[in-house]
Amino acid sequence: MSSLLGTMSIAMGALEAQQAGLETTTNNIANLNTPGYTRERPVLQEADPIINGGIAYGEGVKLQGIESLRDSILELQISNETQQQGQSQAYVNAMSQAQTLFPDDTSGIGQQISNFFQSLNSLSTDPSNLALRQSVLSAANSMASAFNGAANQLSAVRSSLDQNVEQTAGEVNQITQEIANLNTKLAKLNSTAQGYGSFLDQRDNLVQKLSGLIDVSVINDGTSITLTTKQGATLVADGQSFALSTALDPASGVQHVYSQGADITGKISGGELGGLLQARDQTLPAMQTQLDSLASGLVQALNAAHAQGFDLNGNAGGNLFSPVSGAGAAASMAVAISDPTLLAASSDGTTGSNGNLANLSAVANQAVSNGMTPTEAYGNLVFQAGSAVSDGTTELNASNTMLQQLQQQQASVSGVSLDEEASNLLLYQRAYQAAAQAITTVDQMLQTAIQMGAGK
Amino acid sequence: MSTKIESPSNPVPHEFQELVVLETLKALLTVAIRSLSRGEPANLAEVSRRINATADEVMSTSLNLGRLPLTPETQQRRRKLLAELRQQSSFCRAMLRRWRRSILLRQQLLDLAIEPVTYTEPLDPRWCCHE
Repeated sequence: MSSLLGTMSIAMGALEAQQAGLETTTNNIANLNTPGYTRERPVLQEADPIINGGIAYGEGVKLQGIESLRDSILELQISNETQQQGQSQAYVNAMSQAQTLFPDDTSGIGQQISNFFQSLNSLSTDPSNLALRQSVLSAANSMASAFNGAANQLSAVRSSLDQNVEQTAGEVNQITQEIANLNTKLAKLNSTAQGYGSFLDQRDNLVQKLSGLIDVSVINDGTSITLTTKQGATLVADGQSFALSTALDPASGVQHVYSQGADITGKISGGELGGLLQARDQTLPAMQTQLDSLASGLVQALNAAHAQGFDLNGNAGGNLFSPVSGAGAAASMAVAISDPTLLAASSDGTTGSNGNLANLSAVANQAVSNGMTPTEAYGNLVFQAGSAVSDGTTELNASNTMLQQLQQQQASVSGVSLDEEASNLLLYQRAYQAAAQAITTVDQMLQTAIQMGAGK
Repeated sequence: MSTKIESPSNPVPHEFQELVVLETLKALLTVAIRSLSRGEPANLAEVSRRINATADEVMSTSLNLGRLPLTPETQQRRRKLLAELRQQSSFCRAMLRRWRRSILLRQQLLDLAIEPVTYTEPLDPRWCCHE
């Protein structure tokens, strides 16, 4: 049989365990509205019994640790969806800027192309009229300016995304450094230590934040976590973080992202960085190429038609636009003549002839870019920009909705329920009272024993 | 949740037939979006079945009306509806893709956790099949 002091010790252990329960419950209640807080509970375990004379005496309770209630699969799903959300958000933001450059209304390139062909029609009624000839040149200049403006602004959007890439890589480095520091702190702590759960919460929040910036894979070994990109570039290993760096790539003229000396630009597929790179390196260059193709195709077709005619002085038509081709065609598109008399409207050299205006007007219905007429090619650009924004927005909305659903599920596992905590509070209070009563009883028994001894 | 989207009982003029079916499809997709957004999969199978049936109806109506001239107003309404339907169906597809991915991930991780140890040789009969 155990001694009275042994019984006292069991009751003291019970007090300690129930107090830990009370503390944990109070901490949960205190963090009811704290974002990212994961509720905790004490893990109590029966103490090893003492075997005396073949009889096992229970030795009370011991506090095994404080456990955070987490669903690691849900956390993984939230991390994946956050990456998708970050990517869609960055992509939609970038493409929304590009979309404004290709309006489908009375402004922009489409309207200027239409105005130019309209001016040719007007001139055909009086081909020697200098005012009408000047109108054609003005319309040609406006069309060229519209191409120049769109191309330059598209480049500006790309440059701005390039700066964002550099900035986002910096944010990634800051977060990975903080995660590595937390890994170090957690490695030094016992899981029963006060504040262990708080450090885990802080680290989880940082991982979620990081997921919004770059695609992340998390390898959790219980205490420490290792973070890599989906393609395997290490970001954090235990207490060490591996910073990303950016450097100008001479071939493409944009910032590339490096991890430990290796270029990982093409391998980043998620998060804000993924969205920025998708827009900067894929969608926008494709649009730029199409715009250049339309500009060069239009210039070539109009110059060819212009060369077939004769100007007001009876000379053969020269170039209407300065010849352009390939990359940069839209940005450098310019009208080659400023004298309205040099406009080759005549097909036979006579001043009254408007025959070549028909040739010039026919370009409106010719395939000038990828088998499309100028209007169709521009319409295709408008559609592409619109689709990119629309599809990106749909993905973003779906990600937001999905994240909401996952966070609700997470709250049901890791969130604090006041009802449950209130009932736990009562439970621990009663258990504490009972343990205290046991101590009082043992104390009285000890006093009785002492008095018995004194009376002898 | 019940989906009360009834087909019209009154005869509809030919040129509006397609629009009516498109409106029905839009209403069905709205129900599907509501279920997907609230995370309530219970009636999705039924709604999905009705969406497929209505989509077939849209196809056959469009083929029948192929040569029927439409007024500019009808054309405009049709274009608007088609654009809305495109957005709705894209959202549904995006959500379903996420649900599927989510279920597969959980399944894979759970399978990984309970994957039994495989023996390279058959078990000794003495160690298996005990009652």
